[in-house]
Amino acid sequence: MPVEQGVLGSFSEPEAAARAVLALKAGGCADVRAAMPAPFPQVVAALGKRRSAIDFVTFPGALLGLLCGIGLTVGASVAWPIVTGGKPIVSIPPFVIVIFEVTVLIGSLTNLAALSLGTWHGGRPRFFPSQAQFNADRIGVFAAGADPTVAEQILRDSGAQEVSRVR
Amino acid sequence: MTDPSEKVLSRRTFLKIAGAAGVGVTAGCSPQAATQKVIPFLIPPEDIVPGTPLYYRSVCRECSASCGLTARTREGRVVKLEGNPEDPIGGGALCARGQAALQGLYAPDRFKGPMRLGSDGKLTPISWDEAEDQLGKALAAANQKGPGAIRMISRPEPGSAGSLQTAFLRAVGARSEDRIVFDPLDPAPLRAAGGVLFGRPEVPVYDLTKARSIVCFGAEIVETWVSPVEYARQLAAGRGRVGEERTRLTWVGPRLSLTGYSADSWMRARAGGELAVALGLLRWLADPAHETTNLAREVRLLFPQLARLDPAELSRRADVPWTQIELLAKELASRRPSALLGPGLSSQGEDATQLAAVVMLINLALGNLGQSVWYGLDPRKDPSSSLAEVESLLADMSAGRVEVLFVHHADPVGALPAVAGAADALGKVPLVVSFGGRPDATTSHARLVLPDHHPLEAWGDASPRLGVVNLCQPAMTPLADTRAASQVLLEVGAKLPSLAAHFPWPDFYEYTQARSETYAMLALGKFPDLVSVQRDALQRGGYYSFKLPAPTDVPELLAGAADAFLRLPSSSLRGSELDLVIFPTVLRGDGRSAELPWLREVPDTVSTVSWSPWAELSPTTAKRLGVVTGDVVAVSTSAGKTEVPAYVYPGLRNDAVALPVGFPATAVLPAARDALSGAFAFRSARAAVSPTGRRVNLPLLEGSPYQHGREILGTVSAAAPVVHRPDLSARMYKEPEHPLHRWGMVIDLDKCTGCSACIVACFAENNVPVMGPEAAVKGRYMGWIRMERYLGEEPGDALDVNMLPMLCQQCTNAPCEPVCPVYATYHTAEGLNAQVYNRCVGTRYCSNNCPYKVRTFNWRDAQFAAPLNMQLNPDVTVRSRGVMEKCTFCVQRIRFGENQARNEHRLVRDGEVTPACAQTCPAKAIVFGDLKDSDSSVARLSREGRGFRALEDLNTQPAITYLARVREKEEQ
Amino acid sequence: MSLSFERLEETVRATHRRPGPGYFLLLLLAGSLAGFGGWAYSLIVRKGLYLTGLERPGGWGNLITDFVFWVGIAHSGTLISAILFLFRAKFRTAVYRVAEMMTVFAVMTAGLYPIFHLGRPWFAYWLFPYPNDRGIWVNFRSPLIWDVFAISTYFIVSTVFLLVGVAPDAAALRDKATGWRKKLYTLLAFGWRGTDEQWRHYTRAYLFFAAFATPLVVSVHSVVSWDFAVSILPGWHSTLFPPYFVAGAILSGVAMVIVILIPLRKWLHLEEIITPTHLDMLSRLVVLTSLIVTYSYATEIATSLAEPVADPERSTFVFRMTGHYAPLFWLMVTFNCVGPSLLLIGRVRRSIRALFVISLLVNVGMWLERFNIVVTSLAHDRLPFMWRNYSPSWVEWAMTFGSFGWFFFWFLIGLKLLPPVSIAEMKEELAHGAHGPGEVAHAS
Repeated sequence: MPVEQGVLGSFSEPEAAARAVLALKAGGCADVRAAMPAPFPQVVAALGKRRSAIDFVTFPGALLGLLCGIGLTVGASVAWPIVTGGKPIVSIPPFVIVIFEVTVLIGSLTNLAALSLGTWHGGRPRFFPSQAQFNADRIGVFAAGADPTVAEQILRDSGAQEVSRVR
Repeated sequence: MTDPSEKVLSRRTFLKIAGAAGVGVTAGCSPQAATQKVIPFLIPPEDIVPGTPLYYRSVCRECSASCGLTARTREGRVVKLEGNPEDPIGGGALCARGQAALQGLYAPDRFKGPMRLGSDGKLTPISWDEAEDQLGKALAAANQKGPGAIRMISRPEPGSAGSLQTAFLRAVGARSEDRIVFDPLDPAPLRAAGGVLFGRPEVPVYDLTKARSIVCFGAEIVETWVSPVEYARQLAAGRGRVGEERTRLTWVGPRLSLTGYSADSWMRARAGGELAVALGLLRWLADPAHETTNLAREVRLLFPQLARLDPAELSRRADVPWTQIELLAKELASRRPSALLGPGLSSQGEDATQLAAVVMLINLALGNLGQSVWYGLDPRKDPSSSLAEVESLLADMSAGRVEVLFVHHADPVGALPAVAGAADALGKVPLVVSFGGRPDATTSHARLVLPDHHPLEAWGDASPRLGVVNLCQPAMTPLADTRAASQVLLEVGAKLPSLAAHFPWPDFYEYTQARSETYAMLALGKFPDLVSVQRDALQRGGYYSFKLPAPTDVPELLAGAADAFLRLPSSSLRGSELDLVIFPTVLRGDGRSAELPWLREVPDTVSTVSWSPWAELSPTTAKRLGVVTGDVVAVSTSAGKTEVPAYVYPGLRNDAVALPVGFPATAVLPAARDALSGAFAFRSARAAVSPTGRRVNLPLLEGSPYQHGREILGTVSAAAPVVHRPDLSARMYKEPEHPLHRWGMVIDLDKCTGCSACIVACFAENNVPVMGPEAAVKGRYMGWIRMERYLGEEPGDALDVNMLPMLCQQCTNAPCEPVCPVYATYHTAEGLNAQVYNRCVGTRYCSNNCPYKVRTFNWRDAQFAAPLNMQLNPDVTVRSRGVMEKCTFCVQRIRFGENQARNEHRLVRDGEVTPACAQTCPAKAIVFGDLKDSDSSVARLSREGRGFRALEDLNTQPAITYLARVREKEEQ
Repeated sequence: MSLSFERLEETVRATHRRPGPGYFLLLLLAGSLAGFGGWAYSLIVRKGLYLTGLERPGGWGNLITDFVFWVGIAHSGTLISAILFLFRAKFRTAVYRVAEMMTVFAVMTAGLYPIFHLGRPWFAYWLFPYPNDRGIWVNFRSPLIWDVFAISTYFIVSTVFLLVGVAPDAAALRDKATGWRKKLYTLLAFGWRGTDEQWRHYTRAYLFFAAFATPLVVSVHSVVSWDFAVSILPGWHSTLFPPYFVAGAILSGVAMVIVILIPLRKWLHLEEIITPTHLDMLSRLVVLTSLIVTYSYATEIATSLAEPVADPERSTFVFRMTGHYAPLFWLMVTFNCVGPSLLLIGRVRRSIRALFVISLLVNVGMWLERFNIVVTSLAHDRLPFMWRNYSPSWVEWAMTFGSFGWFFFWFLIGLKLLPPVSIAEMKEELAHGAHGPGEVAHAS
């Protein structure tokens, strides 16, 4: 992904990072991004991004699983109609169990696929000046395309340990 | 079918007949090929149609009853034996031993050819010529030594073989008494008694269908007694109904035997007490005070002597309350005609002839003679010699007076008590010639072994009674370089210049043909075209002109003949020891065939023990000795001592210990004999029993022999003739469709005698593997049918024996089916519970979920030691390790019948398809057929009031209906 | 508690240091146990199942017992990570990673045994529904097929769940790791950068995984219980089984977690992360499930004793309690009911040693419970004539102990590769924690 220019500040406490995010937004910086070792609620709240749309992939996936389950059980029994124990060829109760398992299986696999698309290079990857410490103990706040001087100021004020320009 | 003997044999007709022969055993007669081109290897190969069975009629030689049989051959091998329905003795059925005769044919240890005992003490093969030359020389030499130097000991040969042997011995200068006929189970006391009472030294013939009440004084009529298959059939004919006309059976003896299981009441007389009971009955009946109606005059005259007998003393001797004897006497007085039978092996003591005589006098008194008991039908062919004669032979042998001894299918060493010293005696004979086909205790002493054909490979005939001649013809090529014993005699005879004149016949076949002329004359009176008659006879299996004589032909009681029998012999002293009861079992017979794998694998019905001898003790005695089932006990008598695992059996008196006949009983039996008949006295010894402290894993089939109140078997009585059954009208799903057939079975528990014939037949038909004693101990018995034998409700309760032949119930709602992950078992359109071996992966869930536990699992690959593998039925898969198997209702036979029917553009007729078990059932207790055809016999029977289904409340909807055993509540 | 992100990561990374001889000794022990079990099984494959003690009626024995036992063990993981996640139970954070690893390896063990006990294991693949030239499909009415689906689904889902949870931690470890470990963690991190964008999807997806796993974990052991409940065998045929089995599974699973955690936190110096509080919480879970199990025992026995004397159901239970296997039954009751109830006493609960012993015995007891259910019922079916007692052969014992070897072999390896606690979630907790940001600042 292309390098975008902006200002990166790194924080050690979530509260500080959250303050910075809010300040940047107030300061007219539309596109504020963050990287952190854990989903600190304060920061997430400050960024105020809408909820992940992964639901719209996983749910259909589960439905697909349901259909596969029904297709497999009913289809196979009808294609190979053998009477056992005087029970009907299509015996619903036992099939429900298999159908359920298939639903869960395919459902969670789609969930996995959706997740990797959304988080990995799939989806809409956006540039972030990654640093190892953002997986360790620092929270990075990146003001993309903002006026450098203003952004630097805001970040410092909100208690960033380091502030650097990216270009 | 039309009589094929009318047609000229072309290949087409041959095929027609061969095919038609397959239609069913009833129609299964041997094709002309068998009659003209007699020995199978003479049949041009193109006449053998692969996949088409050929049927040959022959005779079973496993015991002296000599039932006719039908041998089914495939591609030139005998694969199955079935009864010959035209034979009046077997009536189409075979017993367990008859079924197993096949394994005698294919026994891996059969001698491959003539052998001579080398200097190194080993048997070394030689050529037939050498053997016969040596024999000839020896005979010539022995001939010089005068009479008695040449002897023969033979099994009974009531036919050509016997007469040839006699002729041969006469020709080589032996006396008639030099031929000893050896048959441990021979009913000599009956002959003796008949001789003394009526001047008729015969074995009477019984017609139990006429008898309303039967009393067995130790006569094991459904096991080994005289003609078990016939008597089981006759008994069953009077069973299977409720009320007065149902045949009543009373068992008298110290041990409740398998025959006792069919009895309605058991008189627990102590060992040897049977005589006292018989005398008691006779006394009561003869007593004018009781005004027994139409009592035989000559018996009424005996009362003065009988009056001397003190009832109290009699009942003390028998250890049976007098009231019980009275009750039985009353029953006999009212229920005419009846039949009283005895003695049997277990009651054959030193007073055996007296017992036989008294029993016969009761028959006479009640007018049973000429009704249910017949004299004048014993052909008196080859009656067995007395123990006295056998012992004198042994004495001569020991004294070195015998040069040449022929042993013809007799095993004195194995069958006689060790104290008789047969083994040492044989050692003293320079030349022991054995015709035995397989090694046994006697043959191991032979200097010269000239292996005889198996009856299924040989010619011959046997005439068990007047008017019945069963013909023995080869059903297949001899497996090894064996030669018919009679043939050897002929050849040796021809070799000896002095004898040649006596033996004009080129071979034994000609000899039998020559004799069959006389049979033909007997059978048909006039003298028709002999060839066609003989051919017809071979096709039918023999000459049958048997009919019961007129009731007027009743023997007269000789004056004063009875007197000697009417006093009670002085009582033998009673110590702390136990009565030693020796009993035969239907599987071991006289012990001759006890080596055959099937007969060892199948558990004995009474004890459920397989592969091992056992000593029965009553629970009380066992407790006193501190032993439980499986503990090894030492049984010792004056004659010797042996160690046997104990089996605790409530069906035995507390003052007795019981051993099955044969080894190891022979080790402890004294050589006692019945004074009058000279018969061997099996019941003579008292034994001391003591625990050894050792313990073995006795191969037992039974888990718990008690029903624990679960009402597994329904029973009915005159009062309540209908079995209570649960209401199963409610249906969760709709019944599966059975468009064409719905195969089903009915098993009449009132007829079933538990004789195990069905089980062995199943082993033979379905290639059921024999897994051996280890498997039996572990509970891995593979039989598709098992005889469940319940002794009562809870341990210690009153004995209430019920038997349940358990096999796959072919359920409509089979619990085994839905649990199989791979559809290896499912419900077919013909109502069968199919098991697809190839599809089975062996989860064993089906077996776990089968409430009847009738599915057997192949824990390891089955072994069929050559040439036993030649017996395998080509119509049935041999299952591999790791798959489940079970009863299929003989689906291969169903298919065969259906194909026959399809070829003739019709439906299968009722009775056309018969599984192996139903086919061989002597009691005809098993009926198979199509339940959809509402007037098929199986459908009719399944609607009977006595009908119930196993574990019916589970709603598995089995295809098998059991007909409840009829009980007389007031008696039990 | 004074624990900083730095310390946290250090402690976790420390667990991956080059292990001492003790570790390798354990690994060898486990490996050879598994090897011996495998060799014993090869005998069965070569010669046949007659080497087991199985017979008729006892078609199932040790091997099925092992199967149910390990499926049970597999339950704690998903329970702790998924269900407690949905319940927002804080204490799970420190322990759920170990539990999840346990789950995955336990399912790996359990899955083998149904195949081992087949008569023709080389055809095991016939149990999977796939279009084949034989034109045969599987019988979906058979509980064994439900097993196939349940177990394989459970294995896949719990593995995914584990790895997804590992990803952020792997990222954290990746950045300081070197050599093959760096490669490994790069792979496991799955391109994780920790951006808000990634967290946005991640948190949501994680919730769904939990939502899927929760009913799954309940279904799996219900299905296992149906292997028995669906049959008509007295002692198996019971509607009580699903909840009863699930509770039992959780009991054994949590007990196993405790048994593993107690030595682990010492050995890997995780005392600060896995505190007595966590153990205390887990032991409360043990008490709860043990009470449910006890109640199930009581219900079963009570209902069967209500039947008439001749009833097979009743007879089977009387046989369990008084018959040939009675000693095992009473041991089971002692270990599963009496033992855990001691944990109601705070002093016992807080004594690490007592807790360890009790939990260990619970595991023995749960194995015995399965043995009791499988074996005694089969030994005592409807036809008394076919009653027969089963006893395992040495081959079956070898395979039973082999299963433990197999499990711990993988578990020990797993410990050295995966972070035994969830770093990310711990950090979240710490940030939440009562401590002020100052500490964090100073620590850094």
